[in-house]
Amino acid sequence: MEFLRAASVDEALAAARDGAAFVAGGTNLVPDVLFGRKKISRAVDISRLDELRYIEEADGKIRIGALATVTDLLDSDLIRTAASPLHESALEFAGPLVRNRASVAGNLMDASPAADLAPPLLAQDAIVELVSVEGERALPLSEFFLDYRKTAVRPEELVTAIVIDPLGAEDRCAYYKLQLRRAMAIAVVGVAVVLRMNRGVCAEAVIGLGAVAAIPYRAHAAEAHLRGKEIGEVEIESAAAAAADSAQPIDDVRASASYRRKMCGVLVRRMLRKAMGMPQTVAV
Amino acid sequence: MSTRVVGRPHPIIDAVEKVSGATVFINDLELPGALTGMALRSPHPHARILNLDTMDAERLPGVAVVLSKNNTPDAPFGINHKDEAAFCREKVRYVGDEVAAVAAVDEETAREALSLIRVEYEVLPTVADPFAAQEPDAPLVHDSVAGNIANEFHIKRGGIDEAFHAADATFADEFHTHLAHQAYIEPTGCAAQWHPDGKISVWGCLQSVFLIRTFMLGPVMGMSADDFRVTQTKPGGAFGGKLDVKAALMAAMLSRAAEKPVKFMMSLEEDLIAMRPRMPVHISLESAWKRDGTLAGKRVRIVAENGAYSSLSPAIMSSIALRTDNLYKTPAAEIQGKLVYTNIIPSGQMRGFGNVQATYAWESHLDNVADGLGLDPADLRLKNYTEKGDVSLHGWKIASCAVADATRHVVREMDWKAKRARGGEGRGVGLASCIHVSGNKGFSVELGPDDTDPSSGVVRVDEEGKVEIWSGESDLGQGATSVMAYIASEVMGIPVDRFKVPPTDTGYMPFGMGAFASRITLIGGNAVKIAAEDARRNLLDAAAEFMEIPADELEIVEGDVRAKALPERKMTVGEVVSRTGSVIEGNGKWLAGGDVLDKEKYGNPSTTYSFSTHGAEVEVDMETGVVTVLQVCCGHDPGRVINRLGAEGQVEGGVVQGMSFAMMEGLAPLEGHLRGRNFHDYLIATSMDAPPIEHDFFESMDPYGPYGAKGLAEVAINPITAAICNAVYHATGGARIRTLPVSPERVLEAIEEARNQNTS
Repeated sequence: MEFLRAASVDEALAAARDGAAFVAGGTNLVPDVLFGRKKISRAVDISRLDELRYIEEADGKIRIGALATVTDLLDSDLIRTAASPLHESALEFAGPLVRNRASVAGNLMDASPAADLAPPLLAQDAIVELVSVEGERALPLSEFFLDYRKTAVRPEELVTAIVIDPLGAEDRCAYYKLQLRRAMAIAVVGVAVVLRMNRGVCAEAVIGLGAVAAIPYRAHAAEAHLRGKEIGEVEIESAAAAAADSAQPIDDVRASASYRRKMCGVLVRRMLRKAMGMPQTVAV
Repeated sequence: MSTRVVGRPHPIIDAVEKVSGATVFINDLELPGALTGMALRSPHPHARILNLDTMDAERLPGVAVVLSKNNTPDAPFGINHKDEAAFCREKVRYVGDEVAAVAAVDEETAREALSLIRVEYEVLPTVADPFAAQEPDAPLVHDSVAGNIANEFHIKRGGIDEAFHAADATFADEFHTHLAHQAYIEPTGCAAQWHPDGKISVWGCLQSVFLIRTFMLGPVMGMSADDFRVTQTKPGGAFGGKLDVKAALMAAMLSRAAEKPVKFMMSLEEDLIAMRPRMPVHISLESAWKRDGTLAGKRVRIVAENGAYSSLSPAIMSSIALRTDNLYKTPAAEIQGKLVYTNIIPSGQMRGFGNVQATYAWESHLDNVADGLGLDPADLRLKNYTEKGDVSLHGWKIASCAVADATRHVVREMDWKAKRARGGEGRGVGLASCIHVSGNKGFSVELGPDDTDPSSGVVRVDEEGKVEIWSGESDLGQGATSVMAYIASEVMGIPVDRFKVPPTDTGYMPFGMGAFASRITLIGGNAVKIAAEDARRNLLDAAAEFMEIPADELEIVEGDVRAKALPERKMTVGEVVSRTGSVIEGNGKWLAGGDVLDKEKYGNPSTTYSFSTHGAEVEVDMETGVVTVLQVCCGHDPGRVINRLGAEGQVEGGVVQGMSFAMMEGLAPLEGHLRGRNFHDYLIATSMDAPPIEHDFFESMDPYGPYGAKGLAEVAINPITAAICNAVYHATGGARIRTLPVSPERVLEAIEEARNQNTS
């Protein structure tokens, strides 16, 4: 395997070709290569491209540079206040050592169904910005994941930024990761909900789900039960049921498919109630 | 008796060395010119080897030697059954079974050589389920073993049928435990160096440097035990798993064939799929009771999963079958055990040696009984506990016992009565107790030189007044070397910081059986105590001559020999030794008490027994099944605490390790393939998961123990699984966890099952 350290984005793009992989934190890629799960002919190290490491507010959006680390998310007041589900997912993400290295874009590029940052980013309508020698393009995160560990990113393309809509004062949100231990654990189910509120009515509802299908996805059918409504018991129960229906989980070493589907409904209900400030039906 | 060192808190004696990174672990060991050894392992749970061609691997430049059945003798070995070979012969029997091994100049070459070995397999049906394995038409793991039964027994004692007839109430339960690994942080590895005189030096993190020569290396390699010099490297964790370490055999065989030093380091994945994890077991229990909560008798049926090869499994099954009967006054028992071969990783011993499994089942059952009889679970136990002076149904002699004190402590500290009065709404408390051996005579027959379960020690004082202790007993991370230093320091009046206890080495140290069965503090500690007393006597005799004061009028205080009547007349210990022109030594040997059990498994297997009670308070999320352990409260009877800091570490480590086993660990076999092959699929508890642990010691001052001490390592882990399960039962109003681990999914199923039962 060839190793190349890029000094600029242009250099990185020029070095990209079939079988090449960009390496940032390397927390997924390095073990994948080491244990033979992935074969790459060339590793292009982009970890020194500081111009891709930032978190900023611009034009009413939050821009997260591709190389911002998970620790950067935790350190950012902007993320804590205007993207709190993302902040909470970063708190549950692996452990401090991994968080220091792992990049936001890397978590998405790994395209694990259980990628911790995907549900909260989906829930804030994330747009992924890409660049290649051909030029730039932008892709909604909801169209980014194609299939199990497969993304819409072309081999020579580099993720440069993730752009999300900040939460407003009226907006409601919640995040939960069901896991089998308190740190360094892969999600059994991940749920992020964002409810954009306008005078008590839910103008927009977005529910991001992780680990209950081949890819992280938006639970559109569940969202439809909430959008345009004053949210109460009925809407929440319908949305939770629809979310559970939408799940297509698998059996694996962590949990069975049926447990995951059931938890998908339970957790969507809980997160919606939490977002709306309603008491839980069971003590949590 | 007042003590100067014993019972006080000290850091372990090699703490600074360890935390500063100076410790040399096996992976740090450098042997000039060493080759890299690596094994080719079976990818199939069960297959016949039709053809094995190593020619291309042998021809690869940089490859020194390739070993397989093609060029090694058929020398089966095994502690109970000689059912294992260095390299698979006609068949492979589990995923991970050693088919061949190479020694090459580096890791890359070794890996390439493995890829060049061609094996033609005829895949055979997998024997995965221990019950299906007993069916008449089941495929056989070992062609000569009918019914796949590795071992079985049936014992009846004390009028069991009458006990059940006369009982006011009987209860029945079934429990199942899972396959879990020791999950030490240091993967297994060994190094070996062949010498031109035909002898071989071996290094590794090994629990018994002496015994591995006699039960594995010697017989398989056709050499005598004395041909091997085995040196322990500092342990990076063992927990029972580094007793029968095949990596030592691989390294030694490769080194002899290559006539060069070889390092054979297993990857974490290899370790997880090919070491000897804790035995899974299926336990059926029936018990008979008087209305007032007096135990009248019990029936136990066990099906234990042996895996592909037997090793110590028959003894583990025996421990599972009999152990808990000795914790309570049990008038009658019927015990049946079946150990079944399967095409899964051979199971083995881990901290508890079957007692974790047995205690989980019996102590869970006891809470069901308490519920059925309308009694408080703590009261039910207190009514039936064994006591000092008892001889149990199986012949165990209880020399000291403070289990009732331990339980009362837990009840008091946890505010038990008030918390038991609540429950059923997602929050609850539970407790469980255990008994454990301090050494086990059975091993001495199966593994040792004779039936004495011996240990010996040498204590050497040098001209600087520093003391080295040589013991044949290994430190496997539990702090054994510190315990020995504190005992000798107490005896000799020399400060602890002048003691050094080098890792065990068969080349110059006296014999010891090794670290298992919680035997080191009692047996090794007594040997070292006797050696220290001898050294002290020799020191005083020498000083008497130099100081012209009779030895019995001298004492040693803080490293000075001084006249009792005239403390300013003194010499330092170093000066005394210096004037002798040599070192001053003391020798000690101690033979364990107890008996070798008879054919009916009757007898007193250990000198004495340790006890503990663990209590847990949990919160259960009734919708997701997620269990949070809020606090753990324990009482332990280790006879006497030698080093309080070390003892606290044992307890806290045991509780967290046991909780981890109970709640999240598991190799998760599926049709003979393990799914927990790395540390993100095989979870172990982190510091984030560890609950606050409150605990205290109840010192029963054992008559046989050094300063009254017994073993502590295993009583620290045994009861916590049942304590958590009993707390979940209380918290949920009846969700009984019958199959481990206590995963959220399993808990939710149990909650639903309990709900259905309550409404039906």
